[in-house]
Amino acid sequence: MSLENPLLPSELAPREARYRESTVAAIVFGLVVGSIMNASIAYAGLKIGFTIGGSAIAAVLGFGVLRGLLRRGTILETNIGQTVASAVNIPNSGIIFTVPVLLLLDPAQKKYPLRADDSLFWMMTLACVAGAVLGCAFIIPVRKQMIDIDRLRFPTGTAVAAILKSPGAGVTKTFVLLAGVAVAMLVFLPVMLPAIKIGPRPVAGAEDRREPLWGYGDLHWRMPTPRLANPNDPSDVQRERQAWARVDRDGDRRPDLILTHETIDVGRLFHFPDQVLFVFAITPLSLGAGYVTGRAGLLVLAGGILAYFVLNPFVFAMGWTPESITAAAVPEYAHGAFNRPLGIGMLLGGALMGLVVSLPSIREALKSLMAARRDNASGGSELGLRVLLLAGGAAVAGLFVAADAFVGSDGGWLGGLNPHLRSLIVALVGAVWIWFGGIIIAQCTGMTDWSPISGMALLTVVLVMLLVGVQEVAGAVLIGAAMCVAISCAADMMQDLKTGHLVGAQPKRQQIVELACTGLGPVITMATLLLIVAANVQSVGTPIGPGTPTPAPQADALKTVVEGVQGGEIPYALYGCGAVLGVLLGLGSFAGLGVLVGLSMYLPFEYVLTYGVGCLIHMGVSAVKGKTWAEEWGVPFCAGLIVGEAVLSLIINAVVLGYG
Amino acid sequence: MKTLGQFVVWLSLAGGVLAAATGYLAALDQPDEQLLGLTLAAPAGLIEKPDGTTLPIVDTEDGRQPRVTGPLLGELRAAGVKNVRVKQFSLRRWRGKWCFLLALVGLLIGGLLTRRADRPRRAAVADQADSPQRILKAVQRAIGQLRQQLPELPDRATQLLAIVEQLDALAKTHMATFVDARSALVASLGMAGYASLMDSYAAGERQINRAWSAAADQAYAEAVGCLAEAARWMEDARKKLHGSARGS
Repeated sequence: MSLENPLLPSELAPREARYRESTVAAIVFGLVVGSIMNASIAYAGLKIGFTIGGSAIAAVLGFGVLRGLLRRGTILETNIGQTVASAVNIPNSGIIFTVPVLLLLDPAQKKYPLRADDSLFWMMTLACVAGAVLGCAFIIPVRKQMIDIDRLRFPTGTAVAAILKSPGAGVTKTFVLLAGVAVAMLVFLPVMLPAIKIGPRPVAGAEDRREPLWGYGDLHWRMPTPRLANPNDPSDVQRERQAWARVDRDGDRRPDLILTHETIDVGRLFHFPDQVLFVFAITPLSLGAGYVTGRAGLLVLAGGILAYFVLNPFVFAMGWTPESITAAAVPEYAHGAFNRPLGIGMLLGGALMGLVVSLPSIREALKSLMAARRDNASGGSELGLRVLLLAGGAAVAGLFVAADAFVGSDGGWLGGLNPHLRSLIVALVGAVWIWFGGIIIAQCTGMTDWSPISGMALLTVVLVMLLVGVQEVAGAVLIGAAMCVAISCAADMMQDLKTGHLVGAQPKRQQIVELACTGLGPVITMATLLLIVAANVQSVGTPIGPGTPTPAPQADALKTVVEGVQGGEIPYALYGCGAVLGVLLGLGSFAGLGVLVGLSMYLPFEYVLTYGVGCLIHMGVSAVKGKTWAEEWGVPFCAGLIVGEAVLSLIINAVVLGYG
Repeated sequence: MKTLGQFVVWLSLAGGVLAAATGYLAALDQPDEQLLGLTLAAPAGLIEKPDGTTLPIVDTEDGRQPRVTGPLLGELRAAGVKNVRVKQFSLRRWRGKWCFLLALVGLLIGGLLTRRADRPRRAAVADQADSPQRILKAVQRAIGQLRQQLPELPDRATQLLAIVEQLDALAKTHMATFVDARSALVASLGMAGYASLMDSYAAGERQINRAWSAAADQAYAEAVGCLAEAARWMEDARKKLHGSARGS
């Protein structure tokens, strides 16, 4: 097939030399910005319990630095900068969810000494680096399937592309994007401000008496105060008592807030039954992600409605909840008792079905990868399978070395085997599980923008503890940390590759820089963790957790799971039922339905509702103004919403970091 | 048929999750020997204290793992408790198992009904006014016209602007429509055929996106080169589509 080009004089080739993409400036920018974001977001995550992805922030900063300060920086160069920055930043979420569990279980650091002079720290770091490389190496071969063939939306990736393209898209679109950023910051500011506390810092061990800054809750929009009872009428007194019980669930003798700092309880505003949760999270990011996803996201909303409007009230009505659980406590109880396990099971089953249905397209994608090696014209555009196998093999070897140091006891399903063989099996099972988990998370991120990392970490820890014995916590956390880092990196890589596709980047260049730089992220996060632990031990005598400036709420949740596994509390049958339902849901016209419904049952419903509103707005705008208009103007605005919330979170985190 | 299929799917799903939610419930009207020794996973029962407040008869907070004993069973039954949530799963004890099984059958039937309804006639895909073949031809025509038009434009700025504007228009119209035809294409070509087609189409699409970026960055030579490559890939996609259509 000839490559005819009447307009391109031969002297202009090679074109790559004239159009900058992977440059030293872009890579250095990415490394510096990524490292700063990694450390600051890791600290903030340990303090306030959530992390943020770095792609959108790095894209915005990329314009400022590469285009503004350095007076260079093409769209594709800025794309490489954000790719590197997010690759270095993203492993922090996987680490801070898992590694601090060891410190929470053993504050004295006798059994699990996480110190620079102990091998546990270095093996944990090695496992996380191996996980980061595995996550990237394993997900690269499915890029074609997810982005080119299945056309997954990847809302954040789409939003970042809108940012990168904004200089060429015209002044009006840039203003629309900036308007989205401004609206997001304005709406989200009162959500974040209460994270900042003013006043003198408390001394070690003393109560923190500082006042948080103003938030939505300070508007004091409360439930209406019940009418006073006639003290002479016992039935009226009873009525007032019942009315107070409904409006004052927290028992502070004041009607509860309808508008808290973070949520608005529409269900209570419109007097929904107590057991029906109808609360919206105030998060422009979820709204924007819902809009970018569009109609497909409604399946997530439908799954959430099934769980919270049908399943929970029905279970309550049938008396299947404990008698001491009040109607208002049903959503929280149900989430822990069956919604979440069923949701995780459905995710797994749905992903498995998606994988089976996608096998022909995966085969085509792999054939195309092989062909790309032979025919350089067709891309040379993808990193070759040989390089990926080498990187993956080295990472599995690293995982084996790390596991071999800490899988010691003779229990579990692998009990009785040679210790090294046991470690090898754990490393191999871990690697396969990471591959499967990476695909699940990338699918979830591609379809909805959410990545159920905590659910996968939970399953990983359970799996490893079953393999090597419930007392092998260090080994389980080690593989769990590698898994968490890997799936975070896999999801981030696919977002970046989606952005790359939309701006016309060479996938191979993004893949090389991401694979080369991602190992730096775990090193920075682990070093940050070490510093925080040392500072905490010096100031409050405890390495991490409640009572320290870094309570590590996510790791605290995983600690409960570890203790649950040790106590035999894991509801395996619910996971199994969910998995079967997830597989069968994929039999219809959409193989990924199980993933979406599972995700909606697993996630906090308030975020699902806000996300669903975004989807509905997209459909409404498309119906009124047309599909093209909805895409052309709505997507840049929603990209602004996503970026605005992320940037504001980073700014507030920086203030919290500096101010305390 | 599709609506019916979807209705069956969602109804069965609701039934399935409800049945699954009962998996760890132990009904107290079962014989004692099936209940004794089980570990409670949630608080059970309710007693009212003299001050009017209520407390569970048996609590599971603070890591307590109470086991079901004879006296406790008697106390719970006397308090009118019908079910308790336990940690052990037993197929024999699971009352919702038949409902769950029925839900699985429902999901199977609903899924097959939906899939069947989604299978349009292959010929229909080719005959539509906005069939993928015609859309692809339109994309090729638009790229060809742009490439022909560029040398005739007066200066570099106008050329770059033309690339940005026309590729923008192309992305909003024909290319968006082509991607929307996914289900029809899968039905017509099969998953492997569709994947092969999209491999070429996406490569062309990426070149179009790159041409847009290059033009926005004033890199004219790159933009023009990408347009040529895009044309090549779109031709490749058209051949695959044509070949598959003839094969079918």
